[in-house]
Amino acid sequence: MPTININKQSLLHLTGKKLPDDILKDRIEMLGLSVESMDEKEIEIEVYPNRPDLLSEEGLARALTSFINLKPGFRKYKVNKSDYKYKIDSKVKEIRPAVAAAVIKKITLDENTLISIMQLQEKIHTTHGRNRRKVSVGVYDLDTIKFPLTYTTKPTSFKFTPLEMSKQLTLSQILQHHPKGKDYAHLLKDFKEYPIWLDDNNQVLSMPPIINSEETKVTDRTKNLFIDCTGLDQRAVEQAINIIVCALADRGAEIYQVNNFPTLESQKMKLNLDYANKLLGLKLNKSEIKELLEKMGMEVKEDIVTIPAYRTDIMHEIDLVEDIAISYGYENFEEIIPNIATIAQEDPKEVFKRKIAEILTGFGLLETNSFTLTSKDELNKMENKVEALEIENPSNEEYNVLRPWLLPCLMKTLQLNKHHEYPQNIFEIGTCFDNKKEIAKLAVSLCSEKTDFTAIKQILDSLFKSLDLDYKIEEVNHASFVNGRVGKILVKGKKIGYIGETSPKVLSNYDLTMPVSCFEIDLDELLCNMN
Amino acid sequence: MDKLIQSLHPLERTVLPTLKIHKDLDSIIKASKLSEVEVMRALQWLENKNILKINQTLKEIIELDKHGEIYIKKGLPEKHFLKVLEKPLTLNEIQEKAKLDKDELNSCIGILKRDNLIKLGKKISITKEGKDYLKTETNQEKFLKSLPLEKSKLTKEQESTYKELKQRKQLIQTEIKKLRTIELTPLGKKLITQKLETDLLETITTSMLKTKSWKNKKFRRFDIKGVVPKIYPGKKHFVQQSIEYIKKIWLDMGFKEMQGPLLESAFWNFDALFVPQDHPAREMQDTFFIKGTRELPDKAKEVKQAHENSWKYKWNPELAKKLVLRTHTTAVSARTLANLKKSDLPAKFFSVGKVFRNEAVDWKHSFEFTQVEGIVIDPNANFQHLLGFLRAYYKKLGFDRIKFLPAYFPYTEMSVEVRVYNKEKKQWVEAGGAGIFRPEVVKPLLGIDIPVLAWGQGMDRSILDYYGIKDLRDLHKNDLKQIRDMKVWLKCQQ
Repeated sequence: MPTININKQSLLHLTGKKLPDDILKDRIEMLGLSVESMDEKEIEIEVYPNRPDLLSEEGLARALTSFINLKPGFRKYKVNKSDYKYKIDSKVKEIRPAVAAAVIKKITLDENTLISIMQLQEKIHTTHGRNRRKVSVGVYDLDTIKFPLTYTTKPTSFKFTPLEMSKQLTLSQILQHHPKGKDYAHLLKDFKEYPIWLDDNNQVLSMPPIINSEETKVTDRTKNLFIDCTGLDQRAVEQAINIIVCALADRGAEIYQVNNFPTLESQKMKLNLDYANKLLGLKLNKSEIKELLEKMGMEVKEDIVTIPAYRTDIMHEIDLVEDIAISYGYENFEEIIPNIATIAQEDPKEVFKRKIAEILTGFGLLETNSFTLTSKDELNKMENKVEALEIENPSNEEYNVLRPWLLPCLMKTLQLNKHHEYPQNIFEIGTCFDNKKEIAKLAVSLCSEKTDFTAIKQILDSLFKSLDLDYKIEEVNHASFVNGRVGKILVKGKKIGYIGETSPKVLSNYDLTMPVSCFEIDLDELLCNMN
Repeated sequence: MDKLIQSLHPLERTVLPTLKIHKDLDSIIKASKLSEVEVMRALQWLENKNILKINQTLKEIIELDKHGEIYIKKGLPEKHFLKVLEKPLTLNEIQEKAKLDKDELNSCIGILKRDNLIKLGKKISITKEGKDYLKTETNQEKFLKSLPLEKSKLTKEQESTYKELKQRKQLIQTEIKKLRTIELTPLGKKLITQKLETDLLETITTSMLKTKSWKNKKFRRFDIKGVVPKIYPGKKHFVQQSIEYIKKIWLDMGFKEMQGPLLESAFWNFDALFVPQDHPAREMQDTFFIKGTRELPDKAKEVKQAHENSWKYKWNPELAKKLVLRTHTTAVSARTLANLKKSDLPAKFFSVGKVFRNEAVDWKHSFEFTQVEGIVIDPNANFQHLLGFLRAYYKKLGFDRIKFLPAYFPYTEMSVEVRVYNKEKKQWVEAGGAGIFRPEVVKPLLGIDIPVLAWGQGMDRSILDYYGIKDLRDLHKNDLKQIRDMKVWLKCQQ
């Protein structure tokens, strides 16, 4: 989740009210953000990804002043018509088709405002913009640009001076050498030409979604801004522009259209009072609902709710119900256990597993708890080739496959416990993978100077007696076990596992100087044969 | 005093009389005719009863070394050298007859020449002094025979012999030994003057019971406060114990257990839960992917519609077919919803299961967790009921103070973050997520849009806190000492 740093004094200035720290923190959190830290100067806040409108000081202040009922209700933003235009070259269609833009005038760019704008831009990139893939935003000094503009593409040999550079670079050089180029080169790697914004003098504005040009850079003397947004999804780029221009308008700036956008047209949605009350368990009347939604910056006329253009998260009536709940205050809801009569039932397989664990602990065995993931190297120590399902993107080579059987886990446990007291008699119940099929298995290992085939067969025998099941053992060859001391375990003629003495070769693979006798069985098969 | 006498073990009874005369361990062992282990045990017990004190001193003891052991039986090499010199012989002849190796031969020549016992020439002959020497037992021989000796108690003469022998190769060695001596306490001094009754019964035997021979006799008193050797019970793993407890909480509240696969299609893990296909959680760095695909269920059509209508993008069935290790047990809830019929309602389900995240492992990160999941499906369920169930659950887990905050999950609306107050750390800690499933989740899966209360919590944090473990890796470390010594999970639900 994105974290933003907010200048506390500036936030309080924007809200126009001095709030004590604990109340400020509580109100921010009950609005649906998480306060990570707060001191005199700064507040660090986690913003949920559904609310990109809260990724700036201005947006947060706006929501907060409504929420604490200082300035509730829908805010109208004036959008000025203009002749600012741009052309879209059809070549961008295959690469980065979505585009929207706006002009901002009369902005006072003090240091704090500049930081806030840059933070908003960066956080929109990482969240709403999916790391610039879906949406990327560029901000320029309007007075360095001559309209009309063109959004087009240029070959990789095309040159311009990127931000923070003193000389021209080709587009491919930018991707190879510029820090931002290197970070985002993967977004363009499949294309022969790259997106470029040009003005009427053929001055480059930027190479979306990578970098702006040095010539159109915003400085502390900048008074007017051009803002573009490009990406893969037209709705998403328009939303981003709406969020940014509203935040800047909150600073007193004026919004001008480019290509007749933005309009900041608000969404209208019908709200059914009964639906809201039923879901919330409340009995709110019309005027209460109206008041609550106004605290969330909305307007209500009859049963029609007007939703500000920057609220990109309202998709369904249910989203309005949540806003009512937040406005009402989660802390103000009664907590009720309803009379919903249902009969409890434990999963039969879980009951079976629990019973088996109880029987085995009765023999004095200790249960262990291994990871479901293991490595091919670990499996190879058993000297017995078993196919294991591989993880495509393991972050750790020690855990790159799904375990096909449990005994390797138990052997690893014994290896790790060589310095502890013997006998070490252990068992584990867990999910194993036979290709993509999931099987619940049980493995038991006895490790002590005196263990042998008889000892492990006694456990197996007694377990089956407790389960009232018959079994047979047939001789078999298995590389993990001593020849002539290994058998397959059959229930009603079907093989459900192996029992035997672990071969000295395997023991030495695990650095063990103590014999191990063990068995492993398929609990799913076993459960099928119960009753 | 009587009680004390009655509590004496047979070994103690055997050792005690020898203490009248003997003070050091070796002589006590000889006098008692017991093994060293038995005597030590008896002395230890007696010390525990405040009858005696065992004093330990360290002593440097001179003993025979490898060559010394051989020479003490076969004689020193210089004697062999002289013995064969009945007539003058060459070196080679001497070596052969006396059966000496090269080293021995050379050292013999040195010693014998120095003391003028032989005369060197083409052939070597014995002198008169040499013949006398052969007849007498030398100081070195005497010294070797008297070993072991305590170094601090050597006479002046022995001291110089010791120095000579130390020069010679592997004849003697010194070793530091613990010497135990016994000192009786006033109680002990009194005790050894008493008659030690010997007619006490030891173990209760079957023959004793059959013949009733125990009648009119006394049993030896046992030291019931003493430390006993450890034994270890068979045990369920402590993680399993806590899982069983949590399952019982939900069973007690009338919930039915639901299950689902660990290897899940992206469809059930994400798409059915209205997680858009470009959501960051679906990227490689967060989720484990497995090669292969799984076919989509019929309900995929409705799920596709929900995505396309609300998220406004083209839903790709291929991305939904991908295989992942489930990242949350909410995938199980999605499957359960899809299998429900209208006649099954109302229904309450829970699940406790493993989930996976693609993370490196350290003390506070892992890639495998246990999650607790619950859903309540009822046409009349509401937000207050959700909070009610959560309050009840956390109370049973031992958290009296909890609070609910607005949160966000793609599949719930209202969304809740539960925070619990940790008394030890004196702070609020994130404990889980909850909410009411969005209509975009419920309608495609269940066919109708009714409230489904849902929640999911990672359990591992509570397990660590309960057992006082700091490191997440300990849950899967399988350290048998830790598992053996771990207290049992015992929380009484209020």
